[in-house]
Parts: sequence; structure tokens; C-alpha cells
Amino acid sequence: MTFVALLLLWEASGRIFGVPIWLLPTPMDIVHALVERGSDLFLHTWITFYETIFGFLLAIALGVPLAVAVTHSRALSNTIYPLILVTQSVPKVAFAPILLIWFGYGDFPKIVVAFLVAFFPIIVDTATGLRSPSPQIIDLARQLAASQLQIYAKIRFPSALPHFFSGLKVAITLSVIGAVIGEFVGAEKGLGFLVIESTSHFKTPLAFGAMVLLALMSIILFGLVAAIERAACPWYGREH
Amino acid sequence: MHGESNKKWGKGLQGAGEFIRVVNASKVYQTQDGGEVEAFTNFNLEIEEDEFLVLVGPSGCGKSTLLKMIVGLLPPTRGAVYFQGTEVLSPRTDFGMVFQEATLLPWRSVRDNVMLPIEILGKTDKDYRAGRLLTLVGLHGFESRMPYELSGGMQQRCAICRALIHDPRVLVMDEPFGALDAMTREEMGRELLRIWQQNRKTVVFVTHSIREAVWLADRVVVMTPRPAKIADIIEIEFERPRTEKMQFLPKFGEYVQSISDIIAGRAGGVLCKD
Ligand SMILES: Nc1ncnc2c1ncn2[C@@H]1O[C@H](COP(=O)(O)OP(=O)(O)OP(=O)(O)O)[C@@H](O)[C@H]1O
Ligand SMILES: [Mg+2]
Repeated sequence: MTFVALLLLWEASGRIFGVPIWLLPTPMDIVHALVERGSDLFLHTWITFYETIFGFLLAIALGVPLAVAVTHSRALSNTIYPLILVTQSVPKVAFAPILLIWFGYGDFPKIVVAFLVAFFPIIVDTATGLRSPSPQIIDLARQLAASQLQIYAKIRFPSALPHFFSGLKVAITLSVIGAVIGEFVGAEKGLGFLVIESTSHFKTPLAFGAMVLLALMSIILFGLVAAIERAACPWYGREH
Repeated sequence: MHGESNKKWGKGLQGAGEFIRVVNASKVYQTQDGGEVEAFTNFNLEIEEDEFLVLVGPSGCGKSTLLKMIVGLLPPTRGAVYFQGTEVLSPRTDFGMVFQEATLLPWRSVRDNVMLPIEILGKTDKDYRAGRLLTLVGLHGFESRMPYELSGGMQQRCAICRALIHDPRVLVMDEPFGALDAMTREEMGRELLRIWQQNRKTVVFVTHSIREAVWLADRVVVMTPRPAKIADIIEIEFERPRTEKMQFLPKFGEYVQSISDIIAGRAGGVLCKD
């Protein structure tokens, strides 16, 4: 409701005060620009979408095993964590041009940036989750001579799910940003590219349109992860 | 020390008490800052088959450590633990454990929580013990409830079923009722005795409540502050099954008093009387 009211206010004030369209387009201008641009919007959205998803899935595929490694051994934890911290301390925006030199103009450097930003919350939260079971329940399992595999399958992984999903929720929105940063640095396709291209021609309404699509993508992906979370751990938050 | 505790132990037969024996056990913990904490030194204890043994002692004296050693989770630094004459060198899967917190897995139903040990041991619940145990503790009809739908007392009953599902030889309980309110606690004590009466096995039970200890135990082992020794072992000579009325007998009060005195005499009275 408030959202609709804000949109109306934006539209009205834009018209009343006659703000130039290249400075701040009204919502109607933005919709108009999107419709005018037409079919290749779908292509750009799709490109950014799959760079995001690819980077995100890659971050899960690498983050979860590393979280297990970090949980499993103190020595690994002491070697892996500093390395990860170093990669996280380097600003991705500064790193993206280097990726461009290494991997060229294709999709890959964007996927790498999306992966790099998504990776950190996933490994940190998953490792926290894997360590969350009480020492007593682990003792109980060990007393029954449970194998490490059993302890992970029956206790640690399910316990880690809520933490894993909070990591994913942060990671998915970061992935979108990562893909866009990758596109900013050098691309011929994608919504990030569209923002750069249209602003350089003062097509501000289209730039706003691309941002709206990006925001929508973020929100939908976030909602999707949240929905999977609710289905996967309905018990969470109901313990006393 | 060893001789002294042996004398106190009524039946006093060296060979007959071979069910569980802790012999000259010492446990030294390495602390984070590189120091050492001695939980106990040259500790000796003998536990008889099917007896209800209760350990009381000041906080931090090493009761939980002793229990972990008995189930084979923690090797003693020196000395040994024997179960039926063989040294305990690895976890005893034929023991059951209950802790202060129920530690149920929140994504599993009551029944599935109770089944956890069976799953880990790779067995099947052929004769539906889970159902019978849950009925025994009054959780019949709650089998498919989730832990968060249960009260604290019900959760702890479920944890007791989980500890009993694989029909363990020994039930090890570390302050199992410590997190419950006084009323629930008494009820749980009654119920535990009822279960134990129907399904006799050795129980090693830690509590901070002297009344609870006297009410439940065949023998109460009173421990000194760290490094723990046995201050005394009190035999509780009330008949079984224990009845409510026994708590009001003068003898009951005498037991409570003398255990409090032992603790006060040596530890400055850290325990509460109820
Ligand atoms: N993992 C550990 N590392 C270092 N010290 C430990 C460790 N576990 C226990 N201790 C120390 O060993 C001593 C005995 O601990 P324990 O938990 O066995 O006591 P407790 O009698 O069960 O106490 P409480 O009645 O409070 O439960 C304590 O002084 C404790 O600080
Ligand atoms: Mg303890």
C-alpha cells in the first residue's frame, strides 16, 4: 500500500514540478521506456539472471564442502579462514577488471564475481550451523559409536539448515550485485550493461527500467530462497 | 581412600562388585590457556548390577567427567574403568544417556527422536519398543508431535525413552531433572522409579538435590570438591518400591541431614537441600 502511494507521489511530483526526464523520470516514463525497448530486455535479464544463478550455485557447491572442512578440523579452519578473509577484503569492484583481463569479455568473469561475493556468507553461516548442535547430543551419538557420516547426516546437516538458508538469503542478493558489477566493468549483454549503455546516452528512463528489473529479480530470487527455507525447516523458530 | 570407601560399601565383597569399577582413575584437563585442571585423582568407585547409584557433590567437582569416563567417551588420564571385568576403551553402545537438557532434534517427531539410537546402531525396532516406552512414560498419543509442541517435562520423558530404546545395560543420567520446576521434578522422579521397577537396570544418576538423591538411591556417593574424592557413601535402607510417605519418615530427614553435614563439613555447604 505504502509502496503504491509512494509511486503515485513520485509520479505526481514529477509532473507537477516538471523535473526533466533525463534527471529523474517518473514511473510512467520508466514503463514507457521499457515497453519501447521491447524484446531484447528479456535477453539482458536472462543473461544477468543466469550469471547470478551460476555464481550462486558455484558458491554453494564450494562453500558447503569447505564449511564441512572448516568444522571438521581446526588445522584446516586455521588455514582456510585467513585465505577466505583475504579474498573478501579485496574489493570486488577493484578485482573485476583483472578478471576481465584473465577471462575476457564473456559471461565467465561475471559468474566469478557473483560467486566471490556469495561464497563468504555461505561458508561462514554453514560452518556456524554445522557447529550449532549441543555437545551433549554429539556425545550421545558418539557414545552409540556413530560414524562421522552418521553424525553429519543425522545431526549436523539438519541442524545447519536454518543457518545455511540465512547465508543463502544474503548470498543471493549479493550474487545479483556481483553479476552487475561484473557487467559494469565490461560486457555487451545483461542488465548491468544496459544501465551503463543507456546512461552514457542520457536514456535515463531506460537505466531506471533496468534497475527496476534488477530489483525485481533480487526480490523474486530472495522470495524463492525464503520459500524453500520454509519448506525445508518448518520447525525452525518454534523451539523454546 | 579406596579402602575407606570399600568399608562403607555394605556388601563389601571385592569380587562381587565387578559390574562397573573405576580404579585409580585420574583425569587432567588441558585448559585453553595451557594450564591443567585436575578433575579427580586416584578415584575409586564400584557400581553393582541393577543398583540405583546417585552421585552428589559440589559444582565443578567432576561428576559429568566421571560419567563420560564410565560410558567410554573420555579416557582417564591414568587408571581405568572396567565393565564386567573388561576395560572400557571405547564408547559403550550398550549404555544409555540422559542430560539436563532434553537435546531432542527439533526436526524429528517424538517417535523419530526416540528411534535415533536404533538408527545409529543400524538396528530395527522389531517389537515396537518405542511405542511401549512412550506409553510407559505417559506420552502415548504424542508419537507424531514435534518437540516444540511438548512441555519441558514431556521433552525430558521423551529423552528418557530415547535413552532406553536400545535396552541399555546401564542408564547414565546427568542432572536429568535439573532444568525442571520442583513439581514436575518430583513427578519425574516418581516416574523414573516406576520405570526402573518394571525394567530393572543399573542407574548412575547425578543430582544437586539431596532429597532427590535420598528418595531415589540405593546408595548415595558424596563427592568432595575438585580434585574429587569420595567423601562418603551412604546406603539408603528404605524398601522398594519407594512410597511418597517415606519422604516424611524421620529416617529420611536423618539421611538428608547427614549428607548435608558431610558436604558442609568438607565443602562449606555448596548444595541445596531440596
Ligand atoms: N573440556 C574441558 N576442558 C577443560 N576443563 C574441563 C573440561 N570439562 C570440564 N572441565 C573442568 O573439570 C572440572 C569438572 O567438570 P565437570 O563438568 O565434570 O563437573 P561437574 O561436577 O559435572 O559440575 P556441575 O555439577 O556444575 O555439572 C571443572 O573444574 C571443569 O572446569
Ligand atoms: Mg555436570
